[in-house]
Amino acid sequence: MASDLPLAGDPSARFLPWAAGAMVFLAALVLAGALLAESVATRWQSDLSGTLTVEIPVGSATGDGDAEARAAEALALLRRSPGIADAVLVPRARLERLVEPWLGIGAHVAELPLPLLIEVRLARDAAVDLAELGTRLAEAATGAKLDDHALWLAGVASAVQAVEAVALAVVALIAGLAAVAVGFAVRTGLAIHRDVVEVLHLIGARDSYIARQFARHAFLAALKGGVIGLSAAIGLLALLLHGHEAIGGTLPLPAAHLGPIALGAVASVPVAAAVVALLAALATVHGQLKRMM
Amino acid sequence: MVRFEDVAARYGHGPEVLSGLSFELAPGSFHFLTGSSGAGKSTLLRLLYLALRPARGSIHLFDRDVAAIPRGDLPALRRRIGVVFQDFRLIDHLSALDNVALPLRVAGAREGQIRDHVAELLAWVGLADHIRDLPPTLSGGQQQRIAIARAVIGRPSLLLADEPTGNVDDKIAVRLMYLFEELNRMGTTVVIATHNDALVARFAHPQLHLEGGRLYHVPGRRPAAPRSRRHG
Repeated sequence: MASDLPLAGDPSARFLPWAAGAMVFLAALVLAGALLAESVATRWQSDLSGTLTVEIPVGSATGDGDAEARAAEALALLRRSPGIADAVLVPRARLERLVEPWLGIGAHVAELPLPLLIEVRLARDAAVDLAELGTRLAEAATGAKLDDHALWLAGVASAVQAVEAVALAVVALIAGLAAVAVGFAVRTGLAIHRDVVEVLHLIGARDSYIARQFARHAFLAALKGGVIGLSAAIGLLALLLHGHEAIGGTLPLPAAHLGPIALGAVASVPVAAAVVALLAALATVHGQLKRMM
Repeated sequence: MVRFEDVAARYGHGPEVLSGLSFELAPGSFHFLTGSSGAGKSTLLRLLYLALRPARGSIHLFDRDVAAIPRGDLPALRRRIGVVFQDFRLIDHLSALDNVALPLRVAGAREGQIRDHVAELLAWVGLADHIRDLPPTLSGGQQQRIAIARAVIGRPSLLLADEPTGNVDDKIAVRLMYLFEELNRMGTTVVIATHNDALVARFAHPQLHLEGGRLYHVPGRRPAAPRSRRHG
């Protein structure tokens, strides 16, 4: 059965898929970016969970003897302490590699007064009093600072939350713009087909009968455009992730990837866009038809 | 069936094109609506098929005051009214069959029933060979018969036809009039707007005559339906 309204021939039939495609492209990129940021933060949190870092400063700042000797005191204290599974001194070469991305290859890193770092791994389910441990470390090794990464992780979490909030706002804005675009296209369609709509009314069609035809058209147009937009977004994301992997060897970033749920969320953007288009079309048609007798 | 009380009509904020219309149509009656071009026949029909609200007065349709009918109840009321528009108002991209099927589809009838019923009616109006044709490919007379078939497919209680024989030859016009009379005999109230004096004379139903924005009642020479009727 053909649709009573020849919407497929309208200018909106060409406009809507492109508009939906562009919006889905942007929304999918923004959503994927936010989910990648969350994935990186989660990975960082997971990597640092159950670990501590002890920093032994060097140079005149401490004014208290040889750094290696203080590091040995700190290591001895840590290995005696309950709840500590392991404590190892980070080799100088690894420290230099860590700062290399920020200072550049070939810089005179060896001449820098890098602090000594001790990596500490906590025993599983250990309840360690970090404040007390920090005080004892400072007494055993002057200037020793205990870092449980809480401050840094809190900063990362805040940054990720901010990114997610901005992403959500952008996606909501895009959805709003999509609804406005669909509303505009539907109003144009109603104006073009005013005669047919009036005939349908006069032979007893309910508003919902007419609205369903516009809604179905908007849904399919948005879905069609959305699939194209998503494909483009996936292509661009693949390029960006490939680029990230290419520079991953020089920056201390964990590998970014999207899990099945995140991939599902991104893949559902065209469907969400189609649903937004459907609802916007229904609301617009009902709103407009109320003005007719 | 229909009662107008001191009804006036206007378009937008323009002057009243009809005023002081008071009449009743009894169930099962058959009336011609006559008057010269521009007398307001189409406007009166628009009031009857609920495309225009009266500027003044009250219209009762199927024992309900039109002004008090909630918008959601209008579709059900309109399904009881069949309309043959002067310009047919067929949907060009739909086949003859789909055009005629529209009233049944909007009423939610089953597709199987629709096909059989519509094909039968199209055959009856002489368009059995054109059920798949699009209206723009058909002659004016053929389009008019599709419009008539669409108006009667739902067995309306009230049939309104605006110049339904304007585009057909006399032979077809008489045949269509017989169709309207057949529907009338089955209980449908019929109002046919026409300026075809020969047709009015031949079938001799009572007339609602519009002149100068006023309505005059001209009794018919013989009853078209066996039941009694009254008109105001």
